[in-house]
Amino acid sequence: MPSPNLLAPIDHDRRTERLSFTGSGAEYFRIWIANTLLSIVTLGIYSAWAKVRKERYFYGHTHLAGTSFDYHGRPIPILKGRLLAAALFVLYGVATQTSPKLLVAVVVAYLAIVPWIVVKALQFRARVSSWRGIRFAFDGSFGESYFVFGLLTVCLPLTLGLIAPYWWFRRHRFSFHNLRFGQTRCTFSALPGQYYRAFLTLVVIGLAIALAAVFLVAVVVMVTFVEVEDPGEATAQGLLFVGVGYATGIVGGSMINGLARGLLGNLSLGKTSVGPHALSTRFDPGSLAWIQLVNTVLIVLTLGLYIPFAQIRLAKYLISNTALEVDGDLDSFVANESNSVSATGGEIADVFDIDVGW
Amino acid sequence: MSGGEMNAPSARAQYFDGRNSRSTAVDVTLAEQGALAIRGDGFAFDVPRAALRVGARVGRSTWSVELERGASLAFEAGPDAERLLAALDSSPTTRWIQRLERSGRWAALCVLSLVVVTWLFVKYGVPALAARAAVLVPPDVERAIGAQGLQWIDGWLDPSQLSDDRRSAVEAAFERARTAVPDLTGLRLERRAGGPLRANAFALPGGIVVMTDELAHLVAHDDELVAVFLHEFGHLERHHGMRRLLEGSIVALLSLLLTSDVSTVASVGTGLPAVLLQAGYSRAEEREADAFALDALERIGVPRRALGDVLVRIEAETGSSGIPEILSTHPETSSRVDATRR
Ligand SMILES: [Zn+2]
Repeated sequence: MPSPNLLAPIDHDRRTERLSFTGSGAEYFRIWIANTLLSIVTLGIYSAWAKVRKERYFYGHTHLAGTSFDYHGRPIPILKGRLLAAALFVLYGVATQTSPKLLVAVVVAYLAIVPWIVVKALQFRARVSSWRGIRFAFDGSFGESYFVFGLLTVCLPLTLGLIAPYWWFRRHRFSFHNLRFGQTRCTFSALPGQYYRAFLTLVVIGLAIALAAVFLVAVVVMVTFVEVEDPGEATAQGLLFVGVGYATGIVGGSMINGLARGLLGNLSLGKTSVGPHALSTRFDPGSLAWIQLVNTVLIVLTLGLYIPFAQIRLAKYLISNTALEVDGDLDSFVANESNSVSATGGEIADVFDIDVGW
Repeated sequence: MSGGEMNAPSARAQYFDGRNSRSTAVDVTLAEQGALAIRGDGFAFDVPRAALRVGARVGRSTWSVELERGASLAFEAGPDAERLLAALDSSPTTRWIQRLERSGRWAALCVLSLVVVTWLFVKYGVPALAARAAVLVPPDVERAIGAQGLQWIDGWLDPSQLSDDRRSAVEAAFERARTAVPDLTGLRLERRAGGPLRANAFALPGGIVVMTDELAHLVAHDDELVAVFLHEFGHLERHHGMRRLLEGSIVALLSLLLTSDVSTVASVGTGLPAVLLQAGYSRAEEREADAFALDALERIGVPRRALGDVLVRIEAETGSSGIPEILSTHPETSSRVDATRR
């Protein structure tokens, strides 16, 4: 019987396809809590399965042009990667603690290995991501990675952080310019100057937030400070001041985090094209600062139980403010010859917490 | 429609051939032996069960089945797709995990168990971890932490105003105490006016022992000072201060990892030592320090009762029991004194 192809959109020459995210906090909470508990009682073994389930949930709820994304990572390779990463981490801990002289050697080894891990992690993430049955791929070279994550990282403190915007520019360029969807190359068109402008904004607002925080703490101290005799009371007072300091630190930190996500997201993802189709983002740094602030406060108040809601909330904002400016049609992407990449890079990146995203 | 079983599970899906990004709407029906019959506009084929890989169905997201050569099917979550995919993948584990992830009652139970597990870990796991880790901390790091703690304390306490006589007596007692513990290195005495702390002595990681002038005046015999110092050396030898610091750090780090906001780690980390220095020692740790002190007293021929005497004196003076490390949970002085008389 003839069935009209309802799902394939009629292609005009140019149109905007907005991404949408349909996950819900209430639904994800149950998944998250079950997976967290299973990970804990299995001493972390289940965390590899939990990771796959989390990714599949988020990918499966992210839609573009009537089709969702798909995650193909498998638990066993991820588990192997995590065990290797954990072993390296213990080695790192032992090495740094047995002798401070070894620390230099460890830092050198770290700088030598991180660029390699970054490439592997980006390859893995791209390889296990697909849309409409076409896998992503990552072509970044080890040489460029050693330049960005090795040389530039070393130069960062030497230049007193002045090259930080350029460093971020190169990181994002590395991540996005080398991405490939099937056989279609991605291009990254942001310029270093735009990163310097974004960082200037970030520094100015960050300083304003820091000043406000210092002012607030000072006011609290002046209002509540009284000369006390009793050591117990004195300690309680000290704790109050430190507590107020922490609270403002967390509030300020999460706001700056949100701002940075917005500013840098618009410059990275928002300046990336997939072949002729340009991605565009409309992240409002103010809104993101607010989302991060509310998320952090609620996570602290609920002792972590709000985490799944926070993740959904953030994903919803970021994804629904991203669109693809389609030029031509989305049906003619061609797949790549498939090749397999081990999960190890991705998992080491997780444990050592190298931020390779934006 | 493929003839035969009208009841066979069936669902709509998108089919991708894995070569290009065209999406084709198809009807998928369960055929014999777990094979899938895929029927679309202008094409029809069956895929045997062995060539299928059913992905984990997490929540009501899109569920996918991988076919051969990169081809795949994407199902919108729903009762039809659930029936079809459950027929393909119905292992007890899958069913059990799905029930766990979908039921509100299980979620409540999970929250409860998580709270219990976390509590047990913080109560027993963290101290055990900290005890292991404390001995691994390099001496340099310990000294740096101690110096930072002293700096913080100096914001509170005035310099010592002991007379030259008392000062040399205190220093002599410290040297005597030190001869009892040749293995401990980095020991250093710091004297301060007690202020709100009154008669007090405490040890900082790395070997700094702080004693207040009030305590130096309180003792009836300098042997009692030796006993106090040895008690503090006991805390140092067992790394009690470092342990407490690590326990706090582990808990702080875990909660930060959980809240996964790494950007705040730096801001929280800087003020941490100050808070942690406030935490007191446990009763068991006080007993360990007492036992250490009694052994050491015996080695250098100072009567054991010096420790008991000074404990009683401090309690009478400050109203708090035992050598009052800042805000500690002390064992009853009487039981500690009894131990010194045994
Ligand atoms: Zn003590």
